[in-house]
Amino acid sequence: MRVVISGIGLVTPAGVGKECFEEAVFDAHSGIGPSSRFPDSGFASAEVKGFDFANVFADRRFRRSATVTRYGLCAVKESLEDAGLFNTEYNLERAGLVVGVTHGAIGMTCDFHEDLVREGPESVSPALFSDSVLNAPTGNTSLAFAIRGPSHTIIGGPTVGIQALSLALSLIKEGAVDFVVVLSCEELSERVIEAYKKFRLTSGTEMRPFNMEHAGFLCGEGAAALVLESHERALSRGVTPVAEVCSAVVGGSESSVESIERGARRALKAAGVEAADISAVTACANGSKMDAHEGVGLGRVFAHSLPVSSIKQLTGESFGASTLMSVIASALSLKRNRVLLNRDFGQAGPEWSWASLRVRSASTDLTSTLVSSVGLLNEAAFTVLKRL
Amino acid sequence: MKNIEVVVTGMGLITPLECGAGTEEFWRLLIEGRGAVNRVSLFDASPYSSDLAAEIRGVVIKPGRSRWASFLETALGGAIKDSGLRLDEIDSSRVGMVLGTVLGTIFDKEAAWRSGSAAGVSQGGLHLEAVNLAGLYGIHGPITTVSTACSSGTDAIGLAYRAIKAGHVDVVFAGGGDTLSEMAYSGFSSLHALTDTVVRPFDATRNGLAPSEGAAFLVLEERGRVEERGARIYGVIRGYASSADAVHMTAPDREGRGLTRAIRAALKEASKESVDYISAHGTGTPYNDLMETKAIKKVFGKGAYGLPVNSLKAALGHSFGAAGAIEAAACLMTMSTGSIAPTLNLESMDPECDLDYVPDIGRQACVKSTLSISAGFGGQNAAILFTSPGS
Repeated sequence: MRVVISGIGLVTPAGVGKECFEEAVFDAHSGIGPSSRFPDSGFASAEVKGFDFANVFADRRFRRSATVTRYGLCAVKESLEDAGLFNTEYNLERAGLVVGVTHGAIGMTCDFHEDLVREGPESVSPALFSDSVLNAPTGNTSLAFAIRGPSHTIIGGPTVGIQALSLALSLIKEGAVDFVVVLSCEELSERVIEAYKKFRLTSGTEMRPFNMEHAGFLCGEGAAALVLESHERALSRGVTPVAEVCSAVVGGSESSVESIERGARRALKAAGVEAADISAVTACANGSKMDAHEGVGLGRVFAHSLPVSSIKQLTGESFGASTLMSVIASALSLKRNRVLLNRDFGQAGPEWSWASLRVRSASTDLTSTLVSSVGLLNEAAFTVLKRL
Repeated sequence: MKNIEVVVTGMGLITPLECGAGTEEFWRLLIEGRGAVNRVSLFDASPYSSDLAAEIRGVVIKPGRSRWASFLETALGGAIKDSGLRLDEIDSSRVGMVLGTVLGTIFDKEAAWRSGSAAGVSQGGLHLEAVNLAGLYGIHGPITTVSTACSSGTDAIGLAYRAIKAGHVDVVFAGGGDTLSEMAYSGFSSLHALTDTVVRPFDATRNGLAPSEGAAFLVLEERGRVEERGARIYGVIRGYASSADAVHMTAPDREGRGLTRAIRAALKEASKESVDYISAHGTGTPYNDLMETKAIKKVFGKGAYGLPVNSLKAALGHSFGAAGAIEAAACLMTMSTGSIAPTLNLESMDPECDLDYVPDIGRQACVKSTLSISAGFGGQNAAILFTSPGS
């Protein structure tokens, strides 16, 4: 069975809505800037701007939901509209929902604890409690759109976007559902920024993927949603899919570049393609030390001069969410047959010497792309997309 | 899906009942009708309307390990040992782990939260702890952390089952774990979901749950390779399903429609119309227990009245992400031993909860198929069906 992306929805620092995101991706327009929400942090970040939840989402049940949930709800709504599945008569017991989350509703969790610590148990809000659990975006999304089929929340780092995609792909291929909404969402939090700063993973003001100095990343936020269904079903509904998802593979957890190499090879095998069939790679690269591992691991798989790009300079690092944004950007690049561009990142590290990290527009015949995601412990996940 | 049979070859757990003394001891105490709900000692519960919980006492936390990781390590180590698997003799890249949790390391991070430390950003590190734990045992395949509220443990086992069926991996360690924490305690207190007397699942006077903690892992393998190495098989997983109520964030669908769908889908996958025993979620809250009863009646019709259904939560409390995994282990022990554990504290019959809940005293029965059901925040539902090895 061929499975396709039939709808996309986005709330990103580079643009809210799929049209703005698409424009930003092909113009390499960055959403990174000085932090307006946490100006005292002294850090730049990638904040979602111009987001008016009440305007997009009239349902008042969710007006007090966590920021991460609001981003998710708007992205899912747009993806369902894009797929022609919003407010339709479809049997939503045959619809699935898979959500990938890293930190979740961290703001509400902080608020809940602050109330508990400062004011005591009498002051804690039950709404803050229920909306701070890691599956809150999932529960609210199923509630908002009446999605009543299989419902899953996966927790992880950058790989979680593709882990969610992988599970969704399985659900469709097993015939358990007709379509699946895949969502990954994150919200910016001062606590999160501080934590990564403490772990020396953030750079402070600049984000330069592939750069030889590995100075670190900048935190981002937002949501990406896509609708997966069989190609046959999408066509029968008169929908033009964005791209085909040929495989989504969760690699090993062995703490070495071998696990990255092995995972990428497994993704190619599962997609039924050779490394030579891949026209471009959308990398996880975010300027951190993990870039080196990713570069070495992928370099063992792919031939020289393969175009490799990263959208993290546009979106910041929002873990599973920016990975799913990368998947969508890669799918759009296939649809438009345009290579994704990198912004200036300075001197690339030697581990990327095999790659063509082009910063200018170039015409290429794109047929298949690989999207890579690598976590802090070299846990990795990959997806292979194909142009339709 | 491929025609692969997924079997359970090992179990390991730690609960407030046996404090890590092993599955046999856990089962002996459970069948005896022993309970572990007591006064909270891990934090000051005096500001709350209840001070009841089931804690694991006397557990040794290794230096540098969180309470949560210690529980997981005990359960995972026990499961690996029980299965007889030698991880150094198999392709470790084909061995995965699926872990279910709700709050993970929250107990250990609460002090950091109170001090405002950045280290309190605990939730984002849950998957890293899972990857680290897997690495300790040489598990190098895909590691997945799932968080579907109180159905996390059941979903973890279900997803592991699917991963083997799909041929992605050969062996998966699947289970769940959570610790007691003041955050969870205060949250359920704010929802008026804590009992201030005793946990009484399905009883007319039931008035809430008692938070708990624990961890359990099952070892799942493809049947063919197990038979090759002559290992013991506890049971076969025949069906699994997840569903969403899409009704309310915290309250279940009062009619149990979501759970009904999950049970029906699991039965359909298993090609079965009924089972010999059901391990219910049975939290002891008014809405959950009635909703579950309605779902069981909808699925099994008149047959529901002849089906033994129990809840272990009166004995063990509600251990959130661990609960489904502990209850799955209990299902397998039920089939292995022919003993059904009792539902404790069930004294006053609720006219609407009128099934056979195995009140207070366990019983002997020939159980060849069992269903374990779970539900949770966000309208989550999960059902998983096991049969005995020979069925």
